[in-house]
Amino acid sequence: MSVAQPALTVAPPVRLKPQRSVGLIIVYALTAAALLLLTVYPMVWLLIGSLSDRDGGYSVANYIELHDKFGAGGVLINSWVFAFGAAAAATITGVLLAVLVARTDVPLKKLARFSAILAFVSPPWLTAMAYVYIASPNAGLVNQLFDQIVGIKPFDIQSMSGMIFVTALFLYSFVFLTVEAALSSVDGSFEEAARVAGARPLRVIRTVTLPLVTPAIVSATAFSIIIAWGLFAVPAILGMPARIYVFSTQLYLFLSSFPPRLELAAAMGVTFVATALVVGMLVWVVQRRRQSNSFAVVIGKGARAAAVPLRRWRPVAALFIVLLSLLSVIGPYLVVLWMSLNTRWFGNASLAGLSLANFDYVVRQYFAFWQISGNTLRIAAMEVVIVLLVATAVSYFTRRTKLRGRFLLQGAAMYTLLVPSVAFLTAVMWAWIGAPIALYGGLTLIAMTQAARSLPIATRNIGDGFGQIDRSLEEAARICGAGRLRTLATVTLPLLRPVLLAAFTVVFLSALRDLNTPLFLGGGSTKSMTLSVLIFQFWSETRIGEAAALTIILLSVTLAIFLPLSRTFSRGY
Amino acid sequence: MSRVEVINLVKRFGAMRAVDDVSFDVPEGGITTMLGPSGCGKTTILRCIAGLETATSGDIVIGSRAVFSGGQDVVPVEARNLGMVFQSYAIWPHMTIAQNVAYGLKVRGYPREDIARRVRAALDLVRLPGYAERFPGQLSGGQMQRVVLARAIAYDPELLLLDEPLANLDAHLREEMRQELKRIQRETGMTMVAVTHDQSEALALSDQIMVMSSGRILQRGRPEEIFRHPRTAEVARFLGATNVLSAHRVDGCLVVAGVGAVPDEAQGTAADRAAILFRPSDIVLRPGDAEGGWPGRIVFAQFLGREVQYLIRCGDTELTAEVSGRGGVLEEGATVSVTVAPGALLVYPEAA
Repeated sequence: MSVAQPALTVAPPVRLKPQRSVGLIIVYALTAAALLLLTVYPMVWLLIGSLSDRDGGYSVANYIELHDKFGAGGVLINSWVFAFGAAAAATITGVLLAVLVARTDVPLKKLARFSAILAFVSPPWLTAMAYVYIASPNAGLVNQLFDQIVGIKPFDIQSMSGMIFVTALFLYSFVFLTVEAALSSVDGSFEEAARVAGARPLRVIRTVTLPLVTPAIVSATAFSIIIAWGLFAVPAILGMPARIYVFSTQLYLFLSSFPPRLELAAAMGVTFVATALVVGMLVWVVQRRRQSNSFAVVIGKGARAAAVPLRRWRPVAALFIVLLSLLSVIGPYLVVLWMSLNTRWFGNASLAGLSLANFDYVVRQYFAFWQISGNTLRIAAMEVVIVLLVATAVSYFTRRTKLRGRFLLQGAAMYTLLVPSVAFLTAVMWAWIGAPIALYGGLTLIAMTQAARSLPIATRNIGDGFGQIDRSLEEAARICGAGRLRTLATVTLPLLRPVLLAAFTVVFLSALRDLNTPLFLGGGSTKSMTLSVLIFQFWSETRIGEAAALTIILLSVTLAIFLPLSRTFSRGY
Repeated sequence: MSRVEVINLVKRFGAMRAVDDVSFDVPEGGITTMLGPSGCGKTTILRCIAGLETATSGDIVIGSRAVFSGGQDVVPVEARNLGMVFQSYAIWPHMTIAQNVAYGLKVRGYPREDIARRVRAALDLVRLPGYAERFPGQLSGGQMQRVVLARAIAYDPELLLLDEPLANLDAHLREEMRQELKRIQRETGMTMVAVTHDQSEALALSDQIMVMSSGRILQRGRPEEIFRHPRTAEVARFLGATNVLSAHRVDGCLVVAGVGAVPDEAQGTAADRAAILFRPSDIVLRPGDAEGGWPGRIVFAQFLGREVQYLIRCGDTELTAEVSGRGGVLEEGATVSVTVAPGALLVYPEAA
């Protein structure tokens, strides 16, 4: 190799300088400070708030008042019935669908997956509004139809069962996505072994498949409960007119009464955070026990299980998928579209009455449309930046360094998963209402709060992304002479790009559809209002057509962002 | 002159000493191999030299620079000017082959035309010209191996580290790459330190071998020397002497219970008990019970093509023999007389 040799023996202009890790420590401190501000500080205030009485002293008076007011009944019972009912219905539907899609020859798998992802990204209030139109006790479309034919109005969506039904139609997607992902990572050979041992397909699913994904099912159910506790839109739209109050709506009443009962709200928040922590502990216990039984084998070599033939049940299963898609996504979308094109409400609607008047009103005549749209996008943009920076930093520290306290950092980023949304909002109010920095009522605080809510899922996904990058890819760069920063910029982040893109999408979409945060923290002025709050306001003023038209606009923006990325998303999730 | 000096290196993982007070030096030029079973600490030492792992105590000197001293990495990984071939290749999938190879040159701030020239030279050296613009996904295992090599040597590092460089290749490619590695070493004169668990790979590749076990170096030397004169029974066993007999001294002669006396030439120890080791290929078998051999019975015969492998029961022990297949296969159950080629018996004193 006479060609190569001269080139390689020329003395190299080596310019390697040792890099100190001072920069790393600075980033670490900044991340810790950001997390303190975003997630820890508010929760401290929630506890302080719940213990402060009106004279400026500290006591448990709020808890006693809460107990006297509600005792063990009313709101407490309703919240449990609502959350458990919705989570149970969502789990049964979601697991059934996941098994069908991941393990059988059911047709329409694409439809099932696509509707689930759409149900996951579309705002819960959309479904609630659609079902009020379809099945409200008096004027609901279907009820009127039945009334004309058989003289009864059978459906009442504005009831506990209605709330559970609508919430389950949204939560099932969360269970489905979690369990289906777990099922596809289970090695097919476990099930083949059971088949060879003589078990029939159904028995295999019952005795092998489901037990293997029990941890995923348990955690999906538990988080469904916590999500349901934090859900405001559905109980507000369906429950409040019928005077059915749950945790979130009762909290809203405390905060919007005059004078606001912030300290009662805090006490109630602490109560539910505590119960949610118990639920979280249960999940942790179940998963730990599973792990100690070395269920780690679940990560297999990727051989997929052969699809179980459904034979004569195939049409039934297909019908189930069609019905679910219809009820959860297609139906509500069409109904809301219909609502947005009508200027008259309920039974009087007709094809001849269709017009774009509602769209014209909200876009061209409503005075603050552009300001509010601008707010929405600015909040979403700020939130995405905060979440991606903090989540990437936390994942880097936990997965790539041995710095002391890195798991504390991770805990601070993840624990808000266990805090019901409205309880966290109460905490943020307590933390910032009298604070020397005037963030309250502004866009920044809304973005920060939403960021705190999105951090757990982003941190988990990005952390998993780091886990999938073989360490030696980064070590090779270090050996070649690149410092930590250069390695991060030229190797780690480029390899992480699909995961970051997926996290970006999830966070951005959740920011667009979030109602709770801007509603509770916005203070009612158009200066800090978002589209979702405006929609809710229109709805409260029974300006149904305008609310629907805005929903359609928001949904179009959502789909425009989401659809091009949906492939990456379903893989990254 | 030595290129790497490792002095009293210790690496603890909790209470376990993965590297237990190891000292050695790597001479300039040539290939030094650490050979040992998995978990013997060889990879840990390699990673400590690279700076990817921080040792507990000791010193590491590369060239004339102390890179690790007093429990601290004095020089971080990126400033050690090393090349490394990873067992998993670690070729960046988001860069072309040329970009992969150019990486170290770019980091070092070479001018652009220099980078292009050196990338070409490196790809020529590993015999992969014309692959520059491809992405790693389109390459076979052997080609990946060549890319990693090119990437590691393109910037002319002070030392090339190889972590199980051939473990991911199938048998015939492994032999080919072994020759390639040696050729590249000879052509560049680069100093290389490799890690392997495969004795034949170590023997073929190395100028110096260090046999390791439980965090210690058992023996260090040239391949031939280690193969012919393993210093301990453990080294001998690791280098293929898998037949082990234990013998007692009776009237000044070593005797294996139930088998017989050991030939005179091998009485290399004065101890009362001895372990006698030899390789399966050093056994000579004769059918029947011929004079002068150990009597045995064939338990199991396996025809492997070039040779036949026998499991033979001799007294209380079982021996493995590998005999040329040309002479036909002896029946299972047949009586044989076992002798060992002269000079092939390795005798070590055995603790009572």
